[in-house]
Amino acid sequence: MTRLRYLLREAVDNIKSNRTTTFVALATTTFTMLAMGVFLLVYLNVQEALGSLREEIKVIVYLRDVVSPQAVSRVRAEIGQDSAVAGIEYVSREQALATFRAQFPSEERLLSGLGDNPFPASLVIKVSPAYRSSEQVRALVQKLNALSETEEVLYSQDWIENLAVALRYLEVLGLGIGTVLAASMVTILANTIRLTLHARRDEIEIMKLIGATTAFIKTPFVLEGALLGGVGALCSLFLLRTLFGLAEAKLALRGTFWGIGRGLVFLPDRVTVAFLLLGIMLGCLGSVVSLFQLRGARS
Amino acid sequence: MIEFYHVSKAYSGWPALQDVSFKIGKGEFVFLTGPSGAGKTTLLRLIFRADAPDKGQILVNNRNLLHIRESEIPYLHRMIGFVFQDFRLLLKKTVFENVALALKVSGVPEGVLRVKVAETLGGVGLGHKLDAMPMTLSVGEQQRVCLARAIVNDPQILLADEPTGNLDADLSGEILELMKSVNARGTTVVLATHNRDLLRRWRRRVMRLEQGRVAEDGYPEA
Repeated sequence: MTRLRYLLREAVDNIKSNRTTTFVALATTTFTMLAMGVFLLVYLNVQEALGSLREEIKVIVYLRDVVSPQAVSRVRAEIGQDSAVAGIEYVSREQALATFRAQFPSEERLLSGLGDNPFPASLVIKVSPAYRSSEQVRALVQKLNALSETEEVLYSQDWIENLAVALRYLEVLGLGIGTVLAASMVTILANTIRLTLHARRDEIEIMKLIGATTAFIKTPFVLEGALLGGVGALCSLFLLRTLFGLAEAKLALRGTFWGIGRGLVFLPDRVTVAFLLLGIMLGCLGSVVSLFQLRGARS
Repeated sequence: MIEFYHVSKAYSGWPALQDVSFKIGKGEFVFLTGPSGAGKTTLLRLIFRADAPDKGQILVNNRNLLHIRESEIPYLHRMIGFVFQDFRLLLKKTVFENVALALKVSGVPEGVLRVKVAETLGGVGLGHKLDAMPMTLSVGEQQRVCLARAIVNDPQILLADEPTGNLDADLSGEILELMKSVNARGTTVVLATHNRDLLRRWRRRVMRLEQGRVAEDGYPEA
């Protein structure tokens, strides 16, 4: 305990003895981690929205006009046996017309020019969660197209898949940006620790002479880096939460986003903890980089 | 305790020690003397393993320093106390903290540490200055703090490099008395000095170096 208390106090003393540099390092760490946090927040929200969209994947089978009610029942039963199908809703021609009139009352004159009800009957198929990949949906569509009662099959998979591809690009971009930001944070912290090392070089020399092990000498500097990284991450999380709250309130972003999902979400608890740990880890890494110069310096 | 066998050491081609051999027994007190540049500091640095010899073997407490691993050096340093001419105190720490550091690096518990540091500082006459900062002390007091730091963990060997170099005759005498008391407890002491007065005050083995060689080694005649 004596040693641990001493090492922690030394780390705090290091920070105190180098206040200006520490403040600059802390500010830079905070803003670097804030940038990472903003990116993470955007990524998580897009991912969340995509998840909601996937839940909405529906395949619509438009039936030929000549199909009898018996045939509809038979087709419905046949389709229902497919494990990819989670649910089927039959929409009659009359229901389709009523829905159109309800949704687009101003377009009534369009219908009058078309004479009889122009809408076909359809089966709206909800896809099971386990069968929502592009290949699986395409296979289902192929089966449905092969039915003699089918006029046309429409589904919303493509643009969702495009969004998924965009998300993967976002992941790669995020990884690149994150790496650059992390590297710059490590460099800044390493330079801060290097300045502390320089300021305390005589002390380090004396400690070596009185029998301090390398670990005893280096640990306060690693703790200093961890402390800077951790506090920087905490500050950035606080700023991120504040900015998120402001954005929600001022930009009226509450509620659903394009009618998708549950609206914008903040970082979940486990991501917040991971973010904090990342800050601590990068801080330690910055210290370790700067401490390499101590290697072989033992006289 | 300390054994040198045909030890040579050069810095940038300049020979600091040449073919030096000697033995110092456990509990001995040895004055190391000679003109500036004779190799006194080099010899102490080699015992302390602050430097490695170019040739020869050095044994300290039966450990061959040529074969000691880098990671073992701190443990060797805990066995050897070192008193520097320039004190090398941590100016931002109190007298107590300076001395306590030597025990903290060994992981001595806080309770034991407090007693031990207070006792040691009391022993060198600084029991009333535990919380003082080094810069507020006189030169003689600073050297006594340095001595306290060197002996607080009861080292087997005490090396002192010109410990009285900055002190007047009275203060030099005080430091010598303290070294004598450390030696009386069984600690082997090697004291490098220019100060002939010290040699006269206490007749102990004198090893005189000249141009990196042992020119004389023995007890002065009365």
